[in-house]
Amino acid sequence: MRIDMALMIVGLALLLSPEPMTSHHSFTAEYDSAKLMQFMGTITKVEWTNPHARFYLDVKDARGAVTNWNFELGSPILLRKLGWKQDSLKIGEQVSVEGYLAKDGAKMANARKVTLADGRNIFAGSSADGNPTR
Amino acid sequence: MRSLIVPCLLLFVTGASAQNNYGTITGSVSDTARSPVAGVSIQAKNVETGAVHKAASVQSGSYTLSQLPPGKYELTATSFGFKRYERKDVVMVQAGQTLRADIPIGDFVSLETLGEDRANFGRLIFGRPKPPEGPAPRTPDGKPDFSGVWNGPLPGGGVEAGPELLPWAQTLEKERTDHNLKDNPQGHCLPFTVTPFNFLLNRVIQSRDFLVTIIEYDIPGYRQVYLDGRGHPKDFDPSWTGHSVGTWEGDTLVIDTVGFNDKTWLGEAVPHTDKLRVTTRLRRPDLGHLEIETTFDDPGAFNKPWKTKGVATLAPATEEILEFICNENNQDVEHLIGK
Repeated sequence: MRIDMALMIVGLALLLSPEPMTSHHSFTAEYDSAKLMQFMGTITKVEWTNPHARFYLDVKDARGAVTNWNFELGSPILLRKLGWKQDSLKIGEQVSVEGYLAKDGAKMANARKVTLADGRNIFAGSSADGNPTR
Repeated sequence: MRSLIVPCLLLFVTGASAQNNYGTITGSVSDTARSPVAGVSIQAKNVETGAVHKAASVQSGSYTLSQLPPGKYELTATSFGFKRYERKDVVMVQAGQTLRADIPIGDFVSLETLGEDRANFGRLIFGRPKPPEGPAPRTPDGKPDFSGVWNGPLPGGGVEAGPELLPWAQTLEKERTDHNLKDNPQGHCLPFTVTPFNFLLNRVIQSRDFLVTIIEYDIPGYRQVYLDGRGHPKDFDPSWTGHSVGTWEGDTLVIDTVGFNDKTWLGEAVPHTDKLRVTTRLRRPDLGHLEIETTFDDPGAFNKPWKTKGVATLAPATEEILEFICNENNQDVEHLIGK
């Protein structure tokens, strides 16, 4: 219910605002909303930077080949306001990530869900509870 | 349920009274995740007469365009943050009939990225603390004092959704949206807007002779307004932020800004020219609220001035404005793709 209300107001605010109340770049210019993928791997690097925080994941395929993927998060400004910090993700941690692939074929994706090995979600921005889970 | 809705984007719903000389189009707006989207502006344009009928979707995503004279209509839907929707086929409206036209509207911006998803934007807006109560403070010389850290203006009601654009500007706006906003300056870490506030935090610093805003989420993170009686310079080079002077009308500060270049995209994709004049009227009715009325006047791009209203709320004194060095790690540019 809370989310419905949020959607309504944000929709309205976006409609009437002369200022962009959004990310610094267009989602659809960079990522393919039809290519939502699941990744499992080990975090190798975290960049707590603007305009987007990023983390990198070593992902092993069925044949054992390892590819390092680059995942985009929101700006640290927005993440911090929601209680998240630069150590919310830790190097060496095993995580699974749900994200949209870059359109240009780069090993990049837009992270919409990050789950730890014990099942907890990090950066649970889409949850309705109003609090980061970590 | 979905199987009923998706294939039947347009269907005859019901016959109304034979006495009714008008028809109705109704439906629901949903995003790519099939969640309802409110606040979307829906427009039905009569192909023969050119008459335009407008409605906005409500919380459930539904909308209704009623009192439509019979005829053929083009249906479009727009909202910042979403792709412009244009229905491919013309809708035939007949007297006394209600047609259903559901509108799937595509996400444009980063509404999925963790931290920038819609729920979190909603939380940032809804989670704002209630502002303190009390009278508006005044400066030693008796003027209203706007100083403080403000949660940026949220739009008020009763304003136009966007400017009425001249044909060339309409064409350019469509071109920009058709190309996924690929070249939006903000994606390149250039200024987001032409106004002195953004929707996150803004600090106002005011003296007798100037007013400065420190803007948390824009580039550059400041705007300056001269209050010392000077006018606009005649040899000002057009710039991203323009030249601002402020004068008092009673307790309202009227900020007049000219001298813009034509490079900023307003809202999401609205073009403007170097004829743009932005008038910002600031009023602090009480301690916790700052009313901001903005008029965008650009005879080079708009049919008439576009007015918006918003209200900022005073943030707790503990709030600190965070750093936004956009070019620190902007990896996106080389991966942005148009159509």
